[in-house]
Amino acid sequence: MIYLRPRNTPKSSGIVNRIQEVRIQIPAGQTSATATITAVDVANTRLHYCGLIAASSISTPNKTLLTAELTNSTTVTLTRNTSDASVAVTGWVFVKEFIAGPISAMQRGTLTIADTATSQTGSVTASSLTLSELAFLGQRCAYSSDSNLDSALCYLKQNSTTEIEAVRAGTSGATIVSYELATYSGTYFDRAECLVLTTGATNFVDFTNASAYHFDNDVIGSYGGMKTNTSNTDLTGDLISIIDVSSKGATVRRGAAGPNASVISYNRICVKPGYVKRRLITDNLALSGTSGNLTIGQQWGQVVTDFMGARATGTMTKSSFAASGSACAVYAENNGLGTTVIYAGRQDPSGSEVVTPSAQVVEWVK
Amino acid sequence: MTVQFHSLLKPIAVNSIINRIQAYSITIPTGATSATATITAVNTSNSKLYRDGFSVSGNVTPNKFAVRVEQTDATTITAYRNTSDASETVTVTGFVNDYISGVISNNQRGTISVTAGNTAASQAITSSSTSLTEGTNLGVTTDYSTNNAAGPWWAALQQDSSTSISANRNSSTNDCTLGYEVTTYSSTYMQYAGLFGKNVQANSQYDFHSFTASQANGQDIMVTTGGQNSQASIADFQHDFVAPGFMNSNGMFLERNASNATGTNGHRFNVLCWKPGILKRRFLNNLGSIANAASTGALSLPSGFLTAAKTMSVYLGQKTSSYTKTTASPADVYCRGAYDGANGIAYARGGTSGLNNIAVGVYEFT
Repeated sequence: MIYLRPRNTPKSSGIVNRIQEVRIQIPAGQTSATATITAVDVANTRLHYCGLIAASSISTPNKTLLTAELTNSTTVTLTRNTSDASVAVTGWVFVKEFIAGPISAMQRGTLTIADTATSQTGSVTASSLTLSELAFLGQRCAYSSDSNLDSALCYLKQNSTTEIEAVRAGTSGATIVSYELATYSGTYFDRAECLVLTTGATNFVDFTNASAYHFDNDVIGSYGGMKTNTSNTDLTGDLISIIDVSSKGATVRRGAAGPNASVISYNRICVKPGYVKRRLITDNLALSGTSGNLTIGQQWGQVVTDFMGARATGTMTKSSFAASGSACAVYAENNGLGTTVIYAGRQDPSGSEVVTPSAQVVEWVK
Repeated sequence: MTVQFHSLLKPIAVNSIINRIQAYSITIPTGATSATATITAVNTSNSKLYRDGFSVSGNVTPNKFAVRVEQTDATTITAYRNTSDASETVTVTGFVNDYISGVISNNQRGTISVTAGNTAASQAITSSSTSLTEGTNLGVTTDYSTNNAAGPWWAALQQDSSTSISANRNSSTNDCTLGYEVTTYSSTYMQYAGLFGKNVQANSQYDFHSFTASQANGQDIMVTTGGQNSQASIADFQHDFVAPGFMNSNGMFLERNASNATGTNGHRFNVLCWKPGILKRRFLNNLGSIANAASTGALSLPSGFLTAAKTMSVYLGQKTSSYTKTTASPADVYCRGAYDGANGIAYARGGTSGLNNIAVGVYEFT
């Protein structure tokens, strides 16, 4: 079922042809749904995952978490592992179609981490480690015992030019992660790489991949997923979000310093000057209720939004929180009144749970 | 999800708010306490002065190298030190922004003298909005001549209210004089401008959320310096100097070369959030350096993307090697760093000992 009709931006003359925003609702009783988009060249198209919102409380990850896939040139599909008789789940996706040239190779698919396993590798056609983005497009899982995310959440990493891997902390039920491995042309991109960070700190800064010569506007990021630590009992000290990606490095953040480190991966992408008009990453979107928004001003044109992770504040005991309460989505769009707004939402918060998602908004030069 | 709309930002009425940006360089020669640079005439009511740090040619005490600058008249920038020296010179560089009429609604220039026995002095100003005002520290002169400790003359500028500013230091020894420009901007062009403080003991994130609120837009934010204090309990400059590592819509990451458990030092930064469309491109980090045994350094920027007449830079701090405060040569410690056209960013100092990283913000206006 299509929840909202895709929104098209006009075809442009920059390196991005067209951006389409898609919202898809997987109805109650269903495990998947599709949206029809204006036809794109799949070899030149990147899907951007923005998160999800369940229509009301679901306690188990198997019914909440979803994957997004570009099924063919006109179809985006969202899939969850298990249907729920009464609860729908909605996911947000941006479809970004480049002109021919910026993407030199596009490989997309899923990795399945088997029941009792903590990781799964996959073979890919040889792809540069310094010009490839390994994009995370959501995960779905079979875990249904309670709301513990240890066996649900996973992150992606590129082990070599020919191997990628999905990794999680728990071992109960299979987890499937959707990915796109985009290798970029050096004509348009200086660098793109998938980086893995391990932290137990509230703020953790990664300076290992600084690119001194890049203007801040030209450095963008994308989420690579994360894994919890099974020894952490509270998600406050477990969930990680990305709050900075810039010319010098990146900062990731947890709600509180946790007793045990968890792991996040992200992509750091340095675009050649002149293609990105403006971009921001912000976590000024704390959700103590079900929704929030942030006005980011005028004069934004065609934008793409990325979900950059979410962290928790307050007590979110892993086995007893509402899974759909913490799952959240972010997206930005022009509101029709000349202003661009980032919207963030979730469903069914309970107790003192506060979730802070992080969002990236990138405007590409037309 | 509840959708809420914020009030709109007022559109920008012009393509560029900059008439011209001019670079200046002034060397106070041996035997002199001041020197001038001649610039193309500006309307002083609409012009704004910035400083890119300073360098001194040899080992002299602060009374002979601590330097401030001022806009003396429409065509003159003057640099001052307290006491001349028979053999050593001081060089200071920076930029003058000449805005179109209407951008600056009020510009107040002057000096604040903190006398012996005091750590602060206040100065009355014409009523100026605390949320549309930039308080620029243009350097400090001092009569302190005992050794090269910084406590007596590292003074920071603070806006205490709409009608009062003050200069603050951590030592009450001797006199010092701080030069300032307190510039209030029109809300037609500026969303937010303010002078904010941060005490730093170790590397830390400095979030802008509390004052940029929902207006946060990384592309539109510019940071300039209000100066910093020096802690007497800190014996080594590497624990005292602070340099922003990067900045985006969330804030800045402030770094010292090494943390120190015994003292924090106060830093003040102006955070300016322009209306969208005014700032075109930004570069801010501390990756540029002057290596040990060198007196200069450089950092390339992508060529062909910055328009010199629309681009300025500002010194934001340093990360230094280990230097004992009282005995180190200021020629080694104090560095300049400035946008240098096609050469990127150029760094310089008088001495050659120790590795110093210099934080510079480069801002191109539309």
